[in-house]
Amino acid sequence: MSAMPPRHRAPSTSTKPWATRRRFLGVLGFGAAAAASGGLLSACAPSGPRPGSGGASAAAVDSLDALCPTYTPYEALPPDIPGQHGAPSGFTSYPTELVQAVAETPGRGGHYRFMAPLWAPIPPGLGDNSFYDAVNGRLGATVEFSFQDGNTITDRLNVLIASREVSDITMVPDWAINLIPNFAEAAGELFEDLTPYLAGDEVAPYPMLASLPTPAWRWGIFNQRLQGVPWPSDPYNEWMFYRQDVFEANGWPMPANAAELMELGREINDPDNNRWAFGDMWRTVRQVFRTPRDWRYENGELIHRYETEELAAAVEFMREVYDADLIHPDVISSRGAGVKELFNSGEILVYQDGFGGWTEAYRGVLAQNPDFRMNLLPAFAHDGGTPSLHPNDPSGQCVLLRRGMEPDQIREVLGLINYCTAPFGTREYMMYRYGVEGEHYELDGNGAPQRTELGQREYSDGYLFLSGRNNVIAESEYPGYVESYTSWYNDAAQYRAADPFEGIRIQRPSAYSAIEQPTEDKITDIIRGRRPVSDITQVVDEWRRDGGEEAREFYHGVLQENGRD
Amino acid sequence: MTTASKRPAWQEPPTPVGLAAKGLVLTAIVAVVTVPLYVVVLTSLSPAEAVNRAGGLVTVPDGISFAAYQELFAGGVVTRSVLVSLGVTLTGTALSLAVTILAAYGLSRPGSLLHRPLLFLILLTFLFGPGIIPSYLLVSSLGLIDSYWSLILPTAINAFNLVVMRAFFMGIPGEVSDSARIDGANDWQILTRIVLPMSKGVTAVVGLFYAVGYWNAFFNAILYLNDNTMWPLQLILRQYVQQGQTLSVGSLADPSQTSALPPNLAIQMAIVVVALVPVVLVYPLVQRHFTKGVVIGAVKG
Repeated sequence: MSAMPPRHRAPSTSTKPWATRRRFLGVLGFGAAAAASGGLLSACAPSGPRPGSGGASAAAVDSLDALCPTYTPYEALPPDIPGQHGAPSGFTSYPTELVQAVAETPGRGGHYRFMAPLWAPIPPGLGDNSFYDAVNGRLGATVEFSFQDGNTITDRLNVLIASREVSDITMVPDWAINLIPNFAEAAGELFEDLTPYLAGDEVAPYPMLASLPTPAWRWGIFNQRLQGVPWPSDPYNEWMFYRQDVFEANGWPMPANAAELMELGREINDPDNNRWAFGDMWRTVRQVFRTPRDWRYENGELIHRYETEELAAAVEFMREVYDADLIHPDVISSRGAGVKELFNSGEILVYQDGFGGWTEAYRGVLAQNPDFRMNLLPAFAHDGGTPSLHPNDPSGQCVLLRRGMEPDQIREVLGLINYCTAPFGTREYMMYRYGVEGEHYELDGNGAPQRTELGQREYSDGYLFLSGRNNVIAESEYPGYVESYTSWYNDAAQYRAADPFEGIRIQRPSAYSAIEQPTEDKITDIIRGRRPVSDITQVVDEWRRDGGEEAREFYHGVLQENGRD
Repeated sequence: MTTASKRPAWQEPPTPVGLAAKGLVLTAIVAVVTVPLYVVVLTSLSPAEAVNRAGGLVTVPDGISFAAYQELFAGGVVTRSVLVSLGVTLTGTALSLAVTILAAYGLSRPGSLLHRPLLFLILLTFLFGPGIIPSYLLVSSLGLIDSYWSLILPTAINAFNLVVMRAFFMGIPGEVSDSARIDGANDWQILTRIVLPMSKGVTAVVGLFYAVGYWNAFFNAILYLNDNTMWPLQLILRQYVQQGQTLSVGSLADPSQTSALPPNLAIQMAIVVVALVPVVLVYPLVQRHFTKGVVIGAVKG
């Protein structure tokens, strides 16, 4: 009965995006080409260069490095297990002495409203929250959070951007940027250009910000302006976990190729005892078979993963797994619901999950089942060679400042952001993540911080979202976790799949996104035995017909504009 | 009052089988409504171990604990939002009723000023909504951002409720107001002394519609309130259900750094109870007007 507005999804950018070539490359390279062809920086301007027109210069992404802060590594504490090939470093114990990374009080008494998403209960607000008081006191400025429901933040952002009413500081998750039409264009008008404050050696007053890797910073460049403070991502998102305790008790081997994985599955599968070999693992199996993440560039041709032999082989393998009834029936009947619980209870022995699932499981399960252990299967390929792991985009979020702030205010806010970038091992990190020792958290027997009741009630991820930081693997309170995770990562980080578009932010045309899910559904039908395996060629033909060919043309244009063709 | 006395002479007395069948069907219907409610309330009152033992929803009582409610109300955020929701619901309902009654009365008098174009404008809102961004721009230009009025004014008049009420007013015989007018009553007096006392049913029903609408509304708050301390209950409760969803939503680098454990089932069920209670309390009071109220619009409209 109430006149509640209908739920609103991000509108598609155009009904005929291919025909009109309305593309919103927040990209640097594109911006450079546009500048050369008349100084129009807005990526969607109709007068911008068209793909194939041979964008003026070979604007390699590297040329944007001039806009990025000079990279100066910062190490609060030497890691026990240094990360290799870009993997996060590990700490096998909690430090007893914390390092002070930011000597001076960064703030000068300003008051800033910060809009961020939150996937947790709203804590008490400013004035009723001693955690906020403590951190703001240390910051020397007041950060007032305006949290938004993490699932509807794009609705809110669309409205704010359309009405040009943004908070002093805004955090936008990277996935949301692609859902906001014309984001790059809007960013130029609504958010401050940080290039004069951060580019090159200008970053000197903010040593923590200087320690963030350059690829992450590039991800915050829109229209040739450095605008967003990044959240550096780890190289990968997910891989296959196995129940280490059960595997060790039974002496099961680790698979080194697809045939061994299948053999292992048959051996450990035991439906009579309510135990299945696998949960869902399609996305990881794709990487085992070395399919490209999206596109592969070969001999001047872009080939989509659907069109590769590798994908067909992966589909065939998954079909065999399903035909052999190695997948838990609950996983088949509902889309992934309850997989974690089934794994925790031992009904599933191998499944794919984001790496965060590891500590999440230990936190929830170890108290009841102290013998519970999980670990990652080694990174392997179907033929026993090296796999091709799909890398993350370099940054998970952008923190943006409202355009029109005074330079002094911008410097102050950058100081606050610098504080919240301090990594593990610093006093600052403990402050913005846990608060005051003895009040908001206590150290347990392992030296690991545990929030007190007050801390649990008042803490929010707000300060965490004010910036990104170099991630480390430090949850040494969980047995074997740091050692297992870092050794997996140091090995797996070598097998990063090559991506022809690496470092280029591309606003995906909506028609391309629209054909992806139906195609995935058709492939799922094949994998689950509802269609014959031979149908894969038909599925790929349909994908080409329904927009795949046009997508190829579009992406080819992007390559040319960036001088990578 | 016995059933026999109300039974028309030509009807046979009910057979025991028929009675039993009716009883069964009615019991089943009641059970469909009450059993889920029972399970929700029971789970919300169960200690965590009982929820684990039951492997989910608790159907057999196994210890009583108010821990879920204590956790929900700790920190004062939920309590505060209950007050906000109550305030918005009470103020909003009163305002909406007043405006709707006045407008419906005016539009029910044939020949009142501009009543056709006005009615047309109102009926038009059945067909077209303004869309989110224009609504936001309007609310923003009125200076209502971060004001409780932004939760009330945009939804203060609902065309459906207005039409129902107008239809009822039009059903009141013209002779009644004519005779009042002969006795010297003006329109205000006719409305307050004659029409309203004859329209308690429809007023109660429309009031209930408004109240439930205000109580359950959350989207206006998402759009118009930057200040989390002003959020109404439904929005605060939503955040509890969101907990631990970071992973499925996006690619924020490492969810282990951010997300807390998903809330336990008892808290989720306590949330359901808290959100339901006021509506459950109000319905029985308004219920006797309810059947009367809704058919009115249907027949006369």
